[in-house]
Formats: sequence, C-alpha cells, structure tokens
Amino acid sequence: MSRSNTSPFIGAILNPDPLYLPVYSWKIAAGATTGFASPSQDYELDRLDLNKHYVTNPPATHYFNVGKQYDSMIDAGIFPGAMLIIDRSIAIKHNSVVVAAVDGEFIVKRLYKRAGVIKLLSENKEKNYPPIVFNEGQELVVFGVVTNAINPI
Amino acid sequence: MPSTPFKPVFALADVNSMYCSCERAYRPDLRNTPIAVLSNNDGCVIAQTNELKALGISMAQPWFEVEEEARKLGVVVFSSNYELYAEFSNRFVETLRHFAPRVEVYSIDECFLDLTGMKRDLNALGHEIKDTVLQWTTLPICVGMGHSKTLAKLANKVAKKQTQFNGVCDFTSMSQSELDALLETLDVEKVWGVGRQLTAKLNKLGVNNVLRLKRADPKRIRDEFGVVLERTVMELNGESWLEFTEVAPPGKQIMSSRSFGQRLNTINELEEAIVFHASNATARLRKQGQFASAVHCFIQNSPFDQAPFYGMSLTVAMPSPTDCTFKINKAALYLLRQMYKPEIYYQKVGVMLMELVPAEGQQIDLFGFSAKNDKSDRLMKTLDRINDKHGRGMLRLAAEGNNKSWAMRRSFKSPNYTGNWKELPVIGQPFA
Repeated sequence: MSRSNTSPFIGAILNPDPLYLPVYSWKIAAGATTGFASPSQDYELDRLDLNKHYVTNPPATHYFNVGKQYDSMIDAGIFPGAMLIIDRSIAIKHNSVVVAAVDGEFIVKRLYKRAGVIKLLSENKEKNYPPIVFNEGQELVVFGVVTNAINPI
Repeated sequence: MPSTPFKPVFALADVNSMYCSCERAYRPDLRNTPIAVLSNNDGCVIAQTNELKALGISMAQPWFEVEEEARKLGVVVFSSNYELYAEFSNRFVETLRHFAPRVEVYSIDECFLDLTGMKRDLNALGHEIKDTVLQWTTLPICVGMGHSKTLAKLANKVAKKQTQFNGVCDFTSMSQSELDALLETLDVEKVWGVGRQLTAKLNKLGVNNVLRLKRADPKRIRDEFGVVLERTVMELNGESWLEFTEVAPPGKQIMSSRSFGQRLNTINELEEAIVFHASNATARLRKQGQFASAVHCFIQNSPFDQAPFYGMSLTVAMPSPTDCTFKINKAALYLLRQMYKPEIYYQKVGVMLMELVPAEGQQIDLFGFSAKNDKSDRLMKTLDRINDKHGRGMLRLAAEGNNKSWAMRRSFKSPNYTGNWKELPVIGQPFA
C-alpha cells in the first residue's frame, strides 16, 4: 500500500484484497438463459430471431402438433395441423389455453377456473363440443399454457 | 482456490431414473407404470423405475430372460432414445443455471452447483430447485448439499433413499452430532470413489460405516490406500479437495479437460484444445473397449478473473454409438460453435464421452480398422459430404444391407419428440 504525503488526494490501494459479499438469492429471469448478466450481452446484433421471439424460457418450452382432425379450438385460432408452443413456467390461470391429458390423450382447451369450478372448454361455434367438467375430488393435470399456435397456410 | 470467508458449499442435483423419467415426459399415462429401457439391439435392461426395482429385475439383465415375466406384470418397455435423453439433460442443466453461476455437469443426469456464499436457507433453496426443474422440464430430481463434493454426493444419496427428506438433504444445516449420527448408519460403499473392493478392505480393518471413515487418520489412509482415499477422508470432514476427474466412475463416462495457464480467446485456439481433448478421450474409450452414445463439451472462463463468470456446456447424442475419432471430434466441434462467444477469455475446456456401451455387439465401421490412418479420415469426410448433400443414408456401409435386417434393433424406441418436428407429441391422438 503506497500513499503520497504531499498530495491532498488519497492514493488508491494497489491490488486490494477481494471483498467477498454474501449472496441473498439469484434472480430467476425468465428469458435469460443463464439467469444472470452475461458478459456478452452488449455485443449482440439487432436481428429478428424467431427463436428468441417465440421462446422466452427454452428449458421450459415444449412443442406439440395438433392432429389433422382436431378442430375443437378453431375459434381460438388453433387449426388442425397447427404447431403449439407451450411454456411450463407460465402460471396457469382462468381463461388460459392449456394442454392437458384427459382420457388417454393430450387435448388443448380453454381453462375455466372460477369459484371452485374447473372446466375445459372448446371453442368451435359450429360443432359446439361439450365442456369437460371436473367434479369435486377429480384431478386435472395441466401440461402447460399455450403461448403461440403456428398455423401453416 | 483462494481462501474466502465463506466455507465452500456444493449441491449435487440428480434426476431420478433419468431414462425412464424422459420416457414419461410426454406419456402422462405412464406416470405410475413400471418402465424398462433396453440397451442397443434391445439386449439388456439398462434403466428401470422404482416399481420395477421392487419386482426384482436387476440392472443389466438380458431382456429375453425377463421379457415374459415383465410383460405379465405390466411393464412398458422402451429402446434407448439417446437423442431424447441428451435434450432433456441440456434442459435440466439450463434450468440449474438459474440458481447458481457455476454448474458442473458430472454425467447425463448429475450436476454439481456451487452455492458458496449464499445467505439463504439452503433447504428451501434445494426445494425451489427441485420444484422448478420438475415444473419446467417434467424431470423429478433430488438435491444434496455439503461442504465438499463428496458430502454433497452423499447427501444426495440420503435425499433419494430416505423419504423423510422429501428429496432434499442439506448436510450443512445439521449439527456435527446430527450429521455424525447419520453417517454412522451409512455403508462406506455409499461414498464417492469407494468401490466394492475398497469397501471389503476397509470393512476388514473395522471401518464399516462412513463415520469411521471420516474419523480415520488421513496419513494412515494414504499409506494403505493412496492419496485419493486420503482426500476423500478430508472431504468427509468438510474440506474441499477433489476434482471429479479423480473420482470418475470407471466405465460410465470419460472426461478429458484442462485449465490453461493463459487465457484462450480465438475460435481457432479453442478448436485446437477441443480436438485434443476429444481425441484423447476417444483413445481412452478404445482402450476400454467401449463405444460412446453421447458427447458433452464445456467451456468456461475463470471464476477468479475480473469478468463475470461465463460457463456453458452442451450434450449431443451420436446417431449411433461410436468410437470413431473423426465423428467424435466433429460432434465436439459442433457443440463448441454453439457455445463460443468471441468476447470471453476462456480458461478451461473439456470433452466428456457419455453413456458408454461395450464394443461387442456394436457395428464395427468397415473404415474403423484404419481409424488412426489419415486415409480413413478422408474417406469419412467424403462419405459425410455426400450424405450431407444428398440426404442421410445415401451412402451406407454394405454391412447395413438393404432390407434393414442388419440395422440395430430398436423396436421399442419412442419418437424423437424433442428433435424432429414430425415426431412431436400429438394433440388428439391416443398415447398408446
């Protein structure tokens, strides 16, 4: 450690010992693939990237194909043959469009969850598929919330 | 390692029955069904769920021996699907990176996290990690924590086997007497790096539980058994001494890695290092008479440099198990290119060959016999170039035949759910 006696300024200490600080928690940032600031973030090019746009949390993102006969949700914008992007880290709420496993297959429906009533609703004005009601004691296991449906033209 | 005011804390997170859990990911109908996964050519059982273990079918048992019994008990069987397991492994690791800056991949289903300096209830953190991995990736895991990697690994075993911990066991929050009482109930064989032979020798000397091993005189241990066991004893006492290259389980994976004296920055320098390690690991693979089904690569800067820590790793499944230097190099270089960032100054890289299978029964490349010969490298490159241009399978080895009767049997392989757009799970189609 060296200091100047004549200067009014306090000299900097050369090579100080590292100061170790405790960590209270790491922020879970959906969308950040490393969960903390990457040193390279300043250097990314400004380019449109479908991956980054549609997938905010890669390890929690899952993909499904909608069967060619499946028209239960066309009024919600999900057509037969669509590809669904599901994010399992998004909270499941009333009115979420969700993928669930019911009666031996995956289905995609709008979730109704109000005042202790749980239903899975279809959205097809013409076919008018009946809702699936979950009575007390029955369990609905939701796979995840649909964030996007990609319908090929 | 510089001394810090914080005692090191490591966590080991591992997936329960990894292969089986991956097969269950998009098959909710199999949540409570016993599952068996078979090795290449559907030879042996290499993975099984708890329900199956309870039925008494042992690991590595030839499938034909147990098939009839298993079917009667309702077992659903799958052929190994390494593409699926590698993808889920990457997701598992990526999720863990949200909880700690330093995540070290130890195998396809186990990672160490460095939790040193966290001023948080570690038990609660462990549960948060477990719940988040399950929620995001569907994989069930257990988490063990300790002041050394050996203790973390032991805590993980305890978390898995003793249900009162609910999957998370933190040794660092236990008092000395509480921990010692627990260690006294555990066999020495449960300790990382202590195999069957060593257990027998230790038991003969009266060291028949982990507490006794912990209290053994390190010098005596070194004289009798060598430096690695001495370090294990010190690790059991809460001092961090081991690098896991020293304790890698034989036959399970092969790791080749090194820290550099100076920093590497250009892609060329890194490629050279990767090729060295990939070739090194492959040479050891051949010596062991094995093939690798997956290749793992990691790159990182130094945790002690000024810049924030950057560490990345990725795993890729090989199209078929291989011991070909060229193919493994190609895979490792491909992974490097996915992870390389030009502004980082790297200090350590490594290549790990995973999911090793015995060489017998594998299809031997016709060109493989002269693998060391550079003529075969050129042949391989030409083969690959033609296949890339005209589609995989354009040129095949004659041994593969045209009617596929020679092709590796994988009759029960699940779809490539996570690697092929045409094989995604389907809405509106029955599971089975």
